[in-house]
Amino acid sequence: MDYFDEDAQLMLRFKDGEESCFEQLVERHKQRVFNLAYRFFSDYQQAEDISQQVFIKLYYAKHTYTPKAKFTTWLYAICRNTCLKILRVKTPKMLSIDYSKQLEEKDVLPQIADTKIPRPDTVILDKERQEIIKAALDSLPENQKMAVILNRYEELSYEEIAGIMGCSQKAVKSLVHRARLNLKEKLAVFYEKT
Amino acid sequence: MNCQKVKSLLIGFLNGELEENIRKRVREHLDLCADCSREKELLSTSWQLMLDHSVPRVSENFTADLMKKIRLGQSEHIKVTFNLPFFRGLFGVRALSGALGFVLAGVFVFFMFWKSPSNNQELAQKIQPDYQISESIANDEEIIKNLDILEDIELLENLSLLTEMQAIENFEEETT
Ligand SMILES: [Zn+2]
Repeated sequence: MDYFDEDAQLMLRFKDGEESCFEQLVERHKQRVFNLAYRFFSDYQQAEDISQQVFIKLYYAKHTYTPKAKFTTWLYAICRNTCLKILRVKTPKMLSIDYSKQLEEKDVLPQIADTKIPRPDTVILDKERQEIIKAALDSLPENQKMAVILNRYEELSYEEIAGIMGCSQKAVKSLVHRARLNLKEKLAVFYEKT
Repeated sequence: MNCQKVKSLLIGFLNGELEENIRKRVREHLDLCADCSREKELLSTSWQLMLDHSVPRVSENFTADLMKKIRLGQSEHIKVTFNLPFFRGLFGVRALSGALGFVLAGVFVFFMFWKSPSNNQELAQKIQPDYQISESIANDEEIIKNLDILEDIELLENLSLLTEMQAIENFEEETT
């Protein structure tokens, strides 16, 4: 089965030498790639570096492109591969970040647009909630974490995730199930506080 | 159906993945068992809570920076490649064996030269492999520099053909 959606068209045109199509692809998918890397590492700079690497790899892989798989599946696979490679060389020191400071420094994309000015106590609760969620996600083994990111946040099916992670759908299902059990335990802290 | 069995089916129940008759039995158990019912609620609310994980925006000059990097060439990419342990290891081993080969060839040539210093033509023939070795070291470096890109190209080409072996490798620690 071939995919001829807009991304595939752009990629094929880029392959034929239209450089501007590559820039369009970057514009369309940069936040998606960044989201995955950011949720995986919880580090702004690292997520951005990884995202750049992903697109650089894509740039040099253009000649090999055929629309056999969905473009985003392709993109996620490079992203996942890059994240895991970086993880192998990451030192524990690099893992530690001041998450609350990051939230102050950068614009945060809310899941639902909210134009109301939040009350200070709500902000504190939100920050605390963010930290708990982040810690819960970080506590998962890397494959469970990746499966959760792809399933919960990127809303991909087990089938798509299996294609990205190079395993069976059954394995993906098992990973997500085990991750949910772990998350339930980790997030118990949150229920106790509220 | 006992509590342990029901608990093992709860995520499937919440995802609507169970067969009708099993779903019905789980439902019946949940109506009667407060413990399993609470477990179901926790699984459901924790999964819901995960959606509150917000992500900052990617920087405004992301694309411009990226294009600059690409135009400047591959230096940035290669630097990253060499930081990866696999490539460090690979390069280390190759460079070491290459250097060892170079030294041995040098010793060999030296003895040839020492034995018959007058035969220049023969000497030139003996030196030839030495030259080839240093050339192959340079080629190896080029190959290693490109391996990271090639690896991903391979991944992309074979996305739908990833083997069960890789799956086993990926999930070995998870399943044990
Ligand atoms: Zn029960």
